[in-house]
Amino acid sequence: MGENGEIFPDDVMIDILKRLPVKSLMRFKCVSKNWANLFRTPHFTAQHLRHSIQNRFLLLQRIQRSPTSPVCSTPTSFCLIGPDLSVHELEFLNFASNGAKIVGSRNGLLCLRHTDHALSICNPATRQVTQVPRTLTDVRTLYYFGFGYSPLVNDYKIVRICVCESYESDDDDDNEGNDGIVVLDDIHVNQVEVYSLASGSWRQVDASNLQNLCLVSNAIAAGGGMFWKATTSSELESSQDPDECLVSFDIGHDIFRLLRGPESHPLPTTYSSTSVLAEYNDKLVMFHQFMMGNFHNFMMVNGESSLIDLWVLDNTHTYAAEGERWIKRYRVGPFSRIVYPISIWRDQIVCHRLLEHVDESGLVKTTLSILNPYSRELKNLPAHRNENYYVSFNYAESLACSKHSA
Amino acid sequence: MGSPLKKIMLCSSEKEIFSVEEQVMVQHSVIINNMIEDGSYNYEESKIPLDCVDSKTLKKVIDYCTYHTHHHNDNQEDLEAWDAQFLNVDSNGLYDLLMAANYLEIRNLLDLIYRTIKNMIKGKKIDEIRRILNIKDHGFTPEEEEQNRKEYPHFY
Repeated sequence: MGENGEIFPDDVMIDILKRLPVKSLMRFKCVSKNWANLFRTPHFTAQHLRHSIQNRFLLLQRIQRSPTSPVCSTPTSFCLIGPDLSVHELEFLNFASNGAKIVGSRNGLLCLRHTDHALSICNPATRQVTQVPRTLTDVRTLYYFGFGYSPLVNDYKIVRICVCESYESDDDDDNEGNDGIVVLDDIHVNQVEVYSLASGSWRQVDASNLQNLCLVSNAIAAGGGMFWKATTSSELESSQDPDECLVSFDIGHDIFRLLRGPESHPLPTTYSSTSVLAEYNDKLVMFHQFMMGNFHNFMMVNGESSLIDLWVLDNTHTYAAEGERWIKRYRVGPFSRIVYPISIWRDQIVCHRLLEHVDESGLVKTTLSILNPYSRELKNLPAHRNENYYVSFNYAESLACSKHSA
Repeated sequence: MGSPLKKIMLCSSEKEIFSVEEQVMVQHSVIINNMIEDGSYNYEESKIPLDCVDSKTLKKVIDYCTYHTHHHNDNQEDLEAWDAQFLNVDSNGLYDLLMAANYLEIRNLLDLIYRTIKNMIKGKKIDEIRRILNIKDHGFTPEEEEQNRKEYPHFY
């Protein structure tokens, strides 16, 4: 018996409560003061998250392509895909975000980047939204953002990387770097600021080792770090392929480092290859996707033509001194369908699958699918709508608090 | 692993002796498995004293282990139906079973009990939960309680 005649002792109830969805817990804080206090403790929040992660959702942000310009895009709405592939619209987030884009998703918290360049941290499960204060400096330029968590310092951080273009640009409104597609020639990183949720403030961080780099991907948070793909600025010959490398940000120590990617050995018949960063079991992974055969036309693919390798950065948590160790986890394919991997969710590869026709506006149509790397089964995700493409995140609901602790 | 024909003796808090197929308990209880494996159980003389488990509860635990040993190939639906029937007990009975499963480290029974308690409270109104769990002192001041009831009338 519990202390006051309750049927089950506290430790049993804690064991049960940590298995319940956040929505129930938000209600149950009215059951007793003990429970209300319990749900606020970091220890319970962490225990609950460990359960919730096993049930994690795929969070999709639907982004509508503009019919007139393929470069312009408007975020429209959010949905969650459950482990059973059921679709849940995130009405609260649709309402709270108002056209914002997700910077990152960590432990149930989302970092949102609003259309007016403001940032917020939001917990869609507890419906808590906290505005992030303005940065120290406000230069109108290209920004790259990252959002991650370090267990080492038990803190969430937002990184804002400003890059400067060395040439005049005549439209600075739509040229925003965070979509990860824009590749510009002569740009360099000139300033980095980091926001810590624990302290509630921004500070400038040394990034002199990034000066000659051009970031070419969104941030991926894994372990206690954030990672970007980068190329060395091609001031020399533009005909030469720029060298690709990775930038890591150690969230606990506020330090940037450069990493090598995995060695890739394209097959002789490869005519194109792409690499994509993702997170898998809290480690950084890189997809290498190869396309082979004769390249006539995207739509006319005969025989087996594409391959995906998955590499895992073995020492994501200790990538300090000894250099990087990449381990090849698997190779999928070759197979005839063209798929572009974008992330991993519950051991499956989330990918855009190219459809074999083009719509009236000339855009290549894709569907969002999940590929089981072991059985090679490819399933369309039910969230598919033709007019959209998707940005995907892993999401596990939690009680994590979006307010700084002070 | 013990041989399927061997029997072991379990002794309840009322000193009642239950004779069970060794295999049945070894498969389900981590504690009993360890006792058999490290040789601390003597087949001629030993009986395992379970001072905190009464006869009624011990009988149920043995029923559970026996059924799941002999029916582990049944389809999931039938097993779930059996489990639901098995746990159709009041809160106190559930508590006794939980303590026994915890003591004997019977993981699948513990999991089943946790799921059952979870379902007892999931989606329930606050007043119902307090009644089910016998929470008499919720710890809120009368003002706080009134405030909550006013703010979230649909929770109660």
